[in-house]
Amino acid sequence: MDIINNLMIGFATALSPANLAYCFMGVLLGTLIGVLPGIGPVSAIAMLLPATYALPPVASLIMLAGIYYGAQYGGSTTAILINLPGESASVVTTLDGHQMARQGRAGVALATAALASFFAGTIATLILALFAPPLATLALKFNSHEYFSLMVLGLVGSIVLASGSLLKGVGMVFLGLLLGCVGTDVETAKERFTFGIPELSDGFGFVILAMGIFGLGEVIRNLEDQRVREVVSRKIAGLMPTRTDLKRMIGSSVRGTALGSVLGVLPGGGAVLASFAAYSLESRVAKPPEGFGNGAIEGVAAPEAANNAGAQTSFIPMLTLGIPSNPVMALMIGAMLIQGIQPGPLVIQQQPGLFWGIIASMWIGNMMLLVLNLPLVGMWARVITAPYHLLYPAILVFSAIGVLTISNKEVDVYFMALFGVLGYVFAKLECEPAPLLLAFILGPMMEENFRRAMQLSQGDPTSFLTRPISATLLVIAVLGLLTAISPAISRKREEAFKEQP
Amino acid sequence: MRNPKDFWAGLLFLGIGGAFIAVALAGGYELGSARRMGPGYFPVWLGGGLSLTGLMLAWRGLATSGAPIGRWALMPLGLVTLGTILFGLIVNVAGLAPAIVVLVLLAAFASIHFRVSQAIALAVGLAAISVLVFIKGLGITVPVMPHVLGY
Repeated sequence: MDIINNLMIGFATALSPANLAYCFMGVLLGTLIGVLPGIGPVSAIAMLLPATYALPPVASLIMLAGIYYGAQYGGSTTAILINLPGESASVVTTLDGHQMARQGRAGVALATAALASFFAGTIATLILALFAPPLATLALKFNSHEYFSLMVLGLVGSIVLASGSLLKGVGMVFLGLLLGCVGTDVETAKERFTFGIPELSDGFGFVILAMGIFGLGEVIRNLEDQRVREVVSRKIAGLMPTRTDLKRMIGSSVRGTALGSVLGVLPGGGAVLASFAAYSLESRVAKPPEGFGNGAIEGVAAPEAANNAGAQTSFIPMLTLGIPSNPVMALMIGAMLIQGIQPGPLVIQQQPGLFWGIIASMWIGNMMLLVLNLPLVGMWARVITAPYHLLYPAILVFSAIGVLTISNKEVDVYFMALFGVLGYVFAKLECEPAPLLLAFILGPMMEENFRRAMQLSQGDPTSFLTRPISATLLVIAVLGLLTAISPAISRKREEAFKEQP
Repeated sequence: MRNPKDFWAGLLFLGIGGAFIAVALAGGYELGSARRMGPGYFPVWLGGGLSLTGLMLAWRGLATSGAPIGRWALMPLGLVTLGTILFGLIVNVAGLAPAIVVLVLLAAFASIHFRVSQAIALAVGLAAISVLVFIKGLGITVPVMPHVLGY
């Protein structure tokens, strides 16, 4: 059995003392930023990226991955205890989770979230181990045409599956691709849109862009509303779910895991979409005696399983195709590039230790999270009460230092400030920034493949449709766009994203 | 205008798209042909796509109705941006510690919950931690404090 051998390699890598320590640091930080409302995994990972440059590639990716799935655990704690999503993927958990807490069942709700997440994490890790290698083998047959079409599909997916207006999503993709053009043109060595600024000849750093738009923009946005949060932290007692609780949880966790695993792989998918979709599926399938919104345990188990599963399976396209499905994965690709690893189908063959090490570390990380979140939940409950006005100056300081450490140029700090303003403007105009970041990362690769493909086919654009794989990918992209435009679906889509309190 | 969010987002896209095209054409980025694309080909098409999307959005903003944009948090926006820029200006000249103090004190004004003493304590604390972690620990090469103070 190949997979057993591979997993052995993985565990050998992940169980080294240093990697265990980085995994622990990752999930600990992840839980922390998950618990704290107002700081999400994108800005946290962007902030920490520069600090990982000095680490070996495996260690840095293990730690960054831990932050992402760790945040899914932490987010639910805040959702349940204070009715605020600690993280956007736990928005729907507030609906039933907080009700359970008000009925004195906070402990059970927290345990449900942690157990469902652990179950989902274990299954999703297996799915990743099973499906990534064959997909990578398929991807090895890809040429420029196929890669271009795949990226088109990825960008269309990010528009269709992101919340908000489609037209704005299209605009954000164009804008991201344009920002990706800034810098030296690879083929002709012509400097584009640099205005003679030498620091721009390599283009905008993606960490700078992400930290500005997501980090700074988020801080300014949070400062709009300065009401003091009402904290209902009471003593958490009775962690153990009863037998009936367990029975009710199982079905929901399985459904949530299945749905989350599928939605995580889709371009534009990931934890947030998975949790929303799982909650609406659950509200159609399950029949809790108290009804949804009144503290139904199914309404906690399903979205929490789904967001953790989605967080983990979103690594599949990133690790096998080199295509990010959400902003966190875009940052992971950036981290790999900085470490000198070209993400793509060759990673599995050339760096088996890295690939299988990350997968094994996810399972270990999930174990650690279970321990971190259940017995220590009282500690996290106290962290939640940290007031935001003591937090955001620290975020600003660490973002500024983080950007500075990339290449010790003050210009980068100014660019971050500029993108911060842009991020706030986007937030005010309800322009979802995720498609922009994906397009920015994919832009240069897309242009290169497009130019090469057109050169190979003598400038004939129909060649994208005469090659079967490329044509299939483009047809899926068009179908996706059409279904999103069709009135019936777009109404459903709005509903799915509006089931927020 | 009945849907200001769509309308202004449209104008923003239109403006940026137009600016990219203008810079590309004014800078003489060759377009080339479909078979052999020049450096201008991709960005000009993208600029066109962005402008067109912007036009459609702006038109939709005029034709449909939607929620108002709401109040702009100008104080936080200005203070956070100014603080970050000042951090960049100060850090390599005077050092990390004063840059952090300036950034934190400015940013603190953006919150209604800060007392001056608290802000000063936070600024000094963050400066101390950052110097320890980033300069002593990770060894990044920026000065700690102005040299005139004996460092």
